[in-house]
Amino acid sequence: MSFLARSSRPLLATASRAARPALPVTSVALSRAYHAKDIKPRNVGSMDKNDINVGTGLVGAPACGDVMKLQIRVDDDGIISDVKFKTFGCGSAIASSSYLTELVRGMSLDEAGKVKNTAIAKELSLPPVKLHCSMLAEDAIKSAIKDYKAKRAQHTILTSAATAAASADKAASIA
Amino acid sequence: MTAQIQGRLLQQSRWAAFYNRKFFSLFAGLYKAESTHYSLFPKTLKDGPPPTGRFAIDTRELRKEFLNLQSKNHPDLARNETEREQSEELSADINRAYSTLASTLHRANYLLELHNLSLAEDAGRTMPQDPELLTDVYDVLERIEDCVADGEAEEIQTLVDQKILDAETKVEEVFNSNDLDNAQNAVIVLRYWVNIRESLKEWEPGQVFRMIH
Repeated sequence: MSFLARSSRPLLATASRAARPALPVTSVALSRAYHAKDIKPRNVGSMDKNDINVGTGLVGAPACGDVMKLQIRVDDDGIISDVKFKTFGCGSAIASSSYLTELVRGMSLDEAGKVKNTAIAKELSLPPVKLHCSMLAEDAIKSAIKDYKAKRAQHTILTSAATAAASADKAASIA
Repeated sequence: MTAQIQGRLLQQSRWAAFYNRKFFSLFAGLYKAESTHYSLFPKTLKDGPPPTGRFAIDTRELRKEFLNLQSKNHPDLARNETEREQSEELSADINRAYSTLASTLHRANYLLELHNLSLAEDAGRTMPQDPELLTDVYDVLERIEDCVADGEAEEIQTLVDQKILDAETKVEEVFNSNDLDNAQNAVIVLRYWVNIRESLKEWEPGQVFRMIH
């Protein structure tokens, strides 16, 4: 019985690998470049978190203690023009965030907000015990988008208040 | 002859105790008092886990009792294969219990487990995170990354040690007072800082800093 159980595992794995659909050309290129053991992560770094065009997401994994910071720069058309990250954690967490930065560059905020951790996990062939690393990356981009939107909303309120105040002053001085 | 029978009875009762624990561990939530890592060390930890016992434990006494238990229960003392297997399993259990209880973080995580409050791997999603803690942790990590001087490294080490002491005090407090609502958060704080401490052990100023856990 135990013999059967043991032998069925590799069989199942082979079957699922064969059943996996062919990946689009771009992701093949990326999957060659990225691996959970990747020692050369891309887009590591920081941006000015006070910049009005930059959104910052800082997230942590309470169970393992990994910390991930992801920053996006958004251009006037609402497109993510640059992405930087710093991850203090295991190789899978670093690879997940590195891959994510390449993935979301050029996306609109809506598109980037829809990126699922399963896409990251699949691309990097993360084992089940490392799925939470890809979740952390998904949470990081969501958090960065949220931060960016909150900042813009705040900025809009402030500028419109300033404009209103200025025009009120103008009106008063004319009167 | 009598000694042999006594020995055998002792072996049997150990075996029974072992099976009891296995059995009860299936109902960990209901029967935790009967079957914890604590009950393997009746001398040092006779009061059991908090809130009956204290969270802080005498690790020197625990180590003594651990070595004593392991020498009494050494698989090489077994007279046949069955006994040997039993004693190997018990010995593995004692090892596991000791290494769990000897570390503050592992003990704290184990207590969470006893209360069915283990931190799931996606706990970052299911419970609110403390942004101040994350910023605090991140700032220290960045300081380590930028650090090239020994003096600065010592400062960081002192800071991290202090953070761990504070976190341990908090963990102790919540478990001793059975304040289960705050137990998970207290353990999370400890986890972040302990991770940094362990990673610092493998690092020198100017080197690339890698997290180890």
